Amino acid sequence: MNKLQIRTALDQFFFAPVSGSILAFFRVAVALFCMAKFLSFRGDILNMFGSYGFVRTEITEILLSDFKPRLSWFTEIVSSVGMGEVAAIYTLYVLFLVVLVALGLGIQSRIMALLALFLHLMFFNSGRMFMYGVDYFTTSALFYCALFPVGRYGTLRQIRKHGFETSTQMPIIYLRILQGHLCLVYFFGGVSKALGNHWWNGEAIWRAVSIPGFYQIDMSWLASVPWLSMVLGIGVLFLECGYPLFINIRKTRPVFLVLIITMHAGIGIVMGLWYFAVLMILLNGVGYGYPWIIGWLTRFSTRRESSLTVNTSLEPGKVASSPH
Amino acid sequence: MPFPGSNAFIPNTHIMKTYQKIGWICLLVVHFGVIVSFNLLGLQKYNEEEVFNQLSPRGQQVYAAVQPYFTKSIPSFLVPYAHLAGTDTGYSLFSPNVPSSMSVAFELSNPRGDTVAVLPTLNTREGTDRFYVNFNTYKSVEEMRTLLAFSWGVRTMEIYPGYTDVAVVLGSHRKPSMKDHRHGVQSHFVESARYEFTLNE
Repeated sequence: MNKLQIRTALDQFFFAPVSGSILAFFRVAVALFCMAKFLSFRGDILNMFGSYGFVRTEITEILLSDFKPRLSWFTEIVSSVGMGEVAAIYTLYVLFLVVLVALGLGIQSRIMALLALFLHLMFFNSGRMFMYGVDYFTTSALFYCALFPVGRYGTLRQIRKHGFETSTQMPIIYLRILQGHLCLVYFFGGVSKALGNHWWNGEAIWRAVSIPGFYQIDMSWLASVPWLSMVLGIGVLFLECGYPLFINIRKTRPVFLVLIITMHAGIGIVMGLWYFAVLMILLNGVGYGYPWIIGWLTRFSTRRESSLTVNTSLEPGKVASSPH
Repeated sequence: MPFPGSNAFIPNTHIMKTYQKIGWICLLVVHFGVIVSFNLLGLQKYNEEEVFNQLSPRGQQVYAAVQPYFTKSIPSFLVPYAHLAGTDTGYSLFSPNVPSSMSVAFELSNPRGDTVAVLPTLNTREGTDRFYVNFNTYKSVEEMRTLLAFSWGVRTMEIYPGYTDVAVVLGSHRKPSMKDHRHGVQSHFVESARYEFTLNE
């Protein structure tokens, strides 16, 4: 292989064209996910983020570096014009939801993504003690929305003008970044587990399914079939440690994608961590399942276009036929 | 036959200039470097005796061999970037083992002798689940423990007015091994800390 061939191969790997509709899907899915997540604790906004909530602001802020955005930046400013803390927090909460709607629709996507990221970090840092893995991944997803040109594809304006275009393309580098991130997530998750002994003998699975805070269904029967716990534990290690290799081999990719999605669905069902499960499935779907998502989007837009053609070609007074 | 979404279906009209390509590759390298650094930094916790003892004998050997090469600190200029990208964390949840889960209860009382024991009261399922995440900070930052217990206690007294004293009782659920469970051992709660606060009128 000479220099030129290597350069061409690298160029293909990082910058080959792929349908930009996957970024439109990513943008809409992330916006919907963030809305669902924030709406899920709407009844606890003050308990989680208020200065007199379960963790007082002054305690939360002990652990915050000066540069980290927080709600008190806003509440202190608006207090000078007579707006109370509760009103200020709810204003930001509603603003965040509005920004997410605009992001989902593709209205000023870059600005909306940056604003959504900043607002998310304000809530994230102010409710720091209530945040866990899913919130870090949400931050990353919004960061990618701000970084990638997600507003170039499938915006409301474009759809109204030209319909949903799946033929516009983008370089695959954006997906490569997401793919690399996922590989590192699973690799470090797997290796750090593999150093312990509980994941090898099944005790980790046994403990994980019965954590009181996340207890969903009675899994005590698992103690009677210890080999199953052991298989599941070793299975998790194999999936996570092997992810960077097998997900990148074309032949094993579909199997690994299904297995990793099954693992996350299992976490959702058994531990009730649904938001975490959905976000990881979404990231895996976009990162490695994009050919199938693009295929689905293409079929959807083709069907929609053909139904529109049928409708517009009808003579006045005739009843439109079903697109199916 | 190419699968849907592959290049074969898309006209190759996209052009990215060379300097843009170089820029994206640089960003990719920095981004992954930050993720790797934070994860290696997070693995430093395995150096603590309590965690190190949880490793398997082979795990201890492997860790001792590779630990000297781990990141000891992150360049300060990269920390804001990592925070913005949501990568200022490690991905070693539930490792090396799944820990005993912590729990909290509040004992409220007043001078009349009324006493009530309550669990954390949040309004949503998601809020309640997230309350338990607090224990990560509680366990990892020793200096914060009293402050956190105080904060939880005060909020609980606000939710249940009329009480002047609150005891914040913390403990962990000790889960028996699968073998012990088959022999009839049940999980039990072990109190590990108790913080008492009184309301000054």
